[in-house]
Amino acid sequence: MHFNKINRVMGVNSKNPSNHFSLSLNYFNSHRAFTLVEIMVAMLIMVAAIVPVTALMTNNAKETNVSEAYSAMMHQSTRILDTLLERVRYADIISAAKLQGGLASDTATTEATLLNLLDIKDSTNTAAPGTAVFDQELRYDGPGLAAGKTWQYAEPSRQFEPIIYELKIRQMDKTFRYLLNVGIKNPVNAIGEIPDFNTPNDPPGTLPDQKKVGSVSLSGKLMKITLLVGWGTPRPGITRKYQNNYSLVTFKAKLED
Amino acid sequence: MAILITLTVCVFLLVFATTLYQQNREVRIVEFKVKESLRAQFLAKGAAQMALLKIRTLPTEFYDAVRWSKGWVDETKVPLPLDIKKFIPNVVVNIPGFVSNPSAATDGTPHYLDFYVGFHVDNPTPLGNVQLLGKIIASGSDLYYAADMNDPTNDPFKGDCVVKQIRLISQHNNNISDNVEIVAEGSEDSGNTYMMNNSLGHLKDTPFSQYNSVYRTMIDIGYMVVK
Repeated sequence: MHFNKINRVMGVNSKNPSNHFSLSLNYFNSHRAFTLVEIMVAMLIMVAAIVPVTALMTNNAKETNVSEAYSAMMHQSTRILDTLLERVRYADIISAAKLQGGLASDTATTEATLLNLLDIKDSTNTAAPGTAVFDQELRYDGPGLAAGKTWQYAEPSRQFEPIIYELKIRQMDKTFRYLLNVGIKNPVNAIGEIPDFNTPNDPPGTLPDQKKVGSVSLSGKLMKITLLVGWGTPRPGITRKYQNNYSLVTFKAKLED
Repeated sequence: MAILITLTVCVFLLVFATTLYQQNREVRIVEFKVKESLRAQFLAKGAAQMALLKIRTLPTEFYDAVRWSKGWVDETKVPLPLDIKKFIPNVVVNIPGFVSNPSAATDGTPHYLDFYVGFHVDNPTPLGNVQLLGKIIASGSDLYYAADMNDPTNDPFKGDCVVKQIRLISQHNNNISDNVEIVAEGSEDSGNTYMMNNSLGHLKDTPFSQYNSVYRTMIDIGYMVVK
């Protein structure tokens, strides 16, 4: 339909000034075209607008990728540490540290690094001795060091850039204090009575808050576990080993014997 | 007119870009906070392990602490009619000479379980993060540890953890199936105040680069305390 006809139908030529739709049609009907200058300026504005938006979207995609990797790091780190705390024997970690990390003895307090978490063997698995605790979770088939890695949560294009896990362990000497249970109490026989006990012979010069206090020192019973996680090739100019890093610290006690 | 149309499109692009940026920022902040809380959580889990080790090492003292915190009753000397439930007094055990440093108004009346947990104040100027729910952490306590992860290449942070409470919640006569509830708290400080986003002031006076996490677990200790 020709614009003149449209204008007539829509009442453009009527006296109603509020009919904007009709006015816009009238504009196209005026046979006026965009000038070359207008088009050039518009293109410049458009380019100036699209370039930063494109950069932002590209950055967003990268950040999303990093976020996914971080989520995978956190997820897998949680699984590893929970497994170490609740399912793995203390002695099995020490055995791996002696084998791989150069730990001198069962009670040594030096720090040992476990690059290969697959060296932690499950000694409770008598049916298949020597089975690695993390066999399925950290299996890695890519090039390079085939241990301590996982790629199962990384996107396909980065499957040969796996998330790397390292374990640092350091045993700590620990002293626990307790109130001496000496001169056992006169028991309470009725509600409201307060138990009584004899005063132990504290050595001269004992500080007030140490009176009646005994202590026991432990060695080789508590370890500090630091899980180091790394992922991604460092960007130019960055001296870190991996682009993204994460670390968790927890403690494990020897409770099994 | 072409410029007008272009500017209109640009406005839509600007709205889109702003939304994208805002969403991206929020996701990063949430992710950061999850990361921080996970660290605090594992510190708290580590503290719970310390509590279990102390119970494992000092089982008799642990049961003493429980009994003294409730008030001692020798059930063999309860007069007739035998109703042991009447003879579990809720008394505060007064231990003369056992005072905190610096001295406090409650001196002389701490009870055993508090001591066992190590929640008494014995250092007026503890290192690291110093408050858990408004209470000073005793850095010298048995069940406290300050973790300082200062390797700059591995996302450094400072943190600490403390056992807040140990409760014997069920007890079998021969100690085979005793259960304890352990409550521990870990706190973490990466020093990154920007990502903690305290612009709303909801963290008030708390150092807003600090994240706390409470871990509560119930564990059967029967196998540990029977030798």
